[in-house]
Amino acid sequence: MSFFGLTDPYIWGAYVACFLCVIVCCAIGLMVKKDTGEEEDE
Amino acid sequence: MTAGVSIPIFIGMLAVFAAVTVGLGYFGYRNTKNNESFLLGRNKTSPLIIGLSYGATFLSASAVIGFGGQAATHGLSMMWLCFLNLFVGLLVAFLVFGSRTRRIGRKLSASTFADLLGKMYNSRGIRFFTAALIIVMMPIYCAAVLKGGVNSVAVITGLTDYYDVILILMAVIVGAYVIYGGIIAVMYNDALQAGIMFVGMAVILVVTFSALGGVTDSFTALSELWTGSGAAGTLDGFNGWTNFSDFGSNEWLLVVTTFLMGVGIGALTQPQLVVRFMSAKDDHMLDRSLIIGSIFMLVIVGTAYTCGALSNVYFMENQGELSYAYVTNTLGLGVDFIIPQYILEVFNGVLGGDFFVCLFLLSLVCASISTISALMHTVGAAGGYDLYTLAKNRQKETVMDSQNVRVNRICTAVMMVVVVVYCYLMPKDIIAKATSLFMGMTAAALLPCFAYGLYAKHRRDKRAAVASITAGTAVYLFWTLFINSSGSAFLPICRWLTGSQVLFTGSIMYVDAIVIALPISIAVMVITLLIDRRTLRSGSPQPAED
Repeated sequence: MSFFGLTDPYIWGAYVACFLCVIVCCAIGLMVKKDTGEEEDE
Repeated sequence: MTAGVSIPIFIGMLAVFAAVTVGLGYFGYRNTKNNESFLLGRNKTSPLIIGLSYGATFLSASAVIGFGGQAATHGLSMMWLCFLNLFVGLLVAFLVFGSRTRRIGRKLSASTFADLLGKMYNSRGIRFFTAALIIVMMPIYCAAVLKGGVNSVAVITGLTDYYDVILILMAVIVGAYVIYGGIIAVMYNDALQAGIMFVGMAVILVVTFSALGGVTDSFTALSELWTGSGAAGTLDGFNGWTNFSDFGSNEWLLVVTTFLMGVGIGALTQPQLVVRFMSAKDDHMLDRSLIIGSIFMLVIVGTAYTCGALSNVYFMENQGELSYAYVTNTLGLGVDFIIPQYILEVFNGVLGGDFFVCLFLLSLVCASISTISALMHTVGAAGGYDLYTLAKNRQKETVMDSQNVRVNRICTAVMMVVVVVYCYLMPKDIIAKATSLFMGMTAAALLPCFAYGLYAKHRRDKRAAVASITAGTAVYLFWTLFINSSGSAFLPICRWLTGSQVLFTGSIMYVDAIVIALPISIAVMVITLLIDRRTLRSGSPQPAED
């Protein structure tokens, strides 16, 4: 399997993992409600 | 190095940059009303500022030129460091550590990492140790970053005769806005510098792929460079720039244990990053800053490592040599100059090339300054806030945090001088390794007790924390100074005592200290916790407190 010319899954897997990470980060950031809510202590 | 920088354009850019920096420094100064605003600046933050500031602080010139040069040498396996930066350094750091750090920090009125750890365990010893660790170790990392930035500027502009002047100038500019503007100036300047870095690196990525014929052609050409025999700068087990090295080989041990694990895991206990969590007004602010932070990190780190590896194709086509051989052997420069040299050559003849080379140079200056400013602020606070508070409390037999901004400022200024001195004492090509050393040391010593302190349901076990810190520190130092070949280059104690650089030769000398020290530190903490819990259950007297 080739991914933009990269054939080693341990290498293209790193790129895929990076993009997935950014997608998860963006999803978490976008799902946050605008209201700040109450200050909650531990 | 190939001359290719338009000095007038660069000076023009620098002048505008300096003016805005001074303006933001003044903004910070006007808004620094007390010690809390100097150390945390909670009322002046936003998701954008926190995301960019976190990213710019995390990624220094070390990430761009230090690790970019390592990617040119060791190949695209370094992209796993990009993943670890994103996953561990951002996602795990914000979700697992961020909100709890912010809440507990606010509840305990903690203003620094050392302050937080000390108050979590109600231990002056832990606070002292953490502050001392920051003061001793952080200047090494800071000097590596400063040196990297100055080296690049001096060599790329051809102003190597003015190395000392550039070094002092950069230190004075950073020192001035950190000392007067505090964390507010640091974070706002970080955001400005992050913006410049983002544009600079994005342009480099586009130009690289366009110069090499597109994404697929670039990677295919890089794959075809590997002939099956060893490449200069690599170790046994290297399989080319587009393949991961053989599991357990010397090359694998170096890349995985030193670069990937040392830096990837170490990011969790960076005192300057922990302060960013405590600066947030609420948890939602931290979550929203993940958007900007993740995109920023992917572009900066991904570009540096991808272009670093692809520079082999460019240099082979244009100079007939691989990056490492061309830059180190032919040009007589270090690995840290592979990326700068590549930028100079790839933009040569490109429309607006002068402008983009200057933009890259400014990006490097920004990358260095953003990290140095955060480090200096942290070192200054460790001395001027933590140690000063401990000294005052001991003298007056009180328990009160210092509110003296002036002591923080003086301490920051003194440490800036120490960092400049370090720059002259450190060996060359040390940027990436110095970064690994600092991050690895803090992780081995402090990560277990920090994580446990954040999540402990009952009273935190101080004895377990002290045992873990002691074991992590001792093992890390021993392994670094006597076993690991990279680490023993810093302080050749082993050579002085035994006559050889390390105690044992073979693959073990490529294993980074964090791989050994962190598990031991965790194990010691768990074992002590279990012993103390059993002692408590059996009704025996509680272990003595320090």
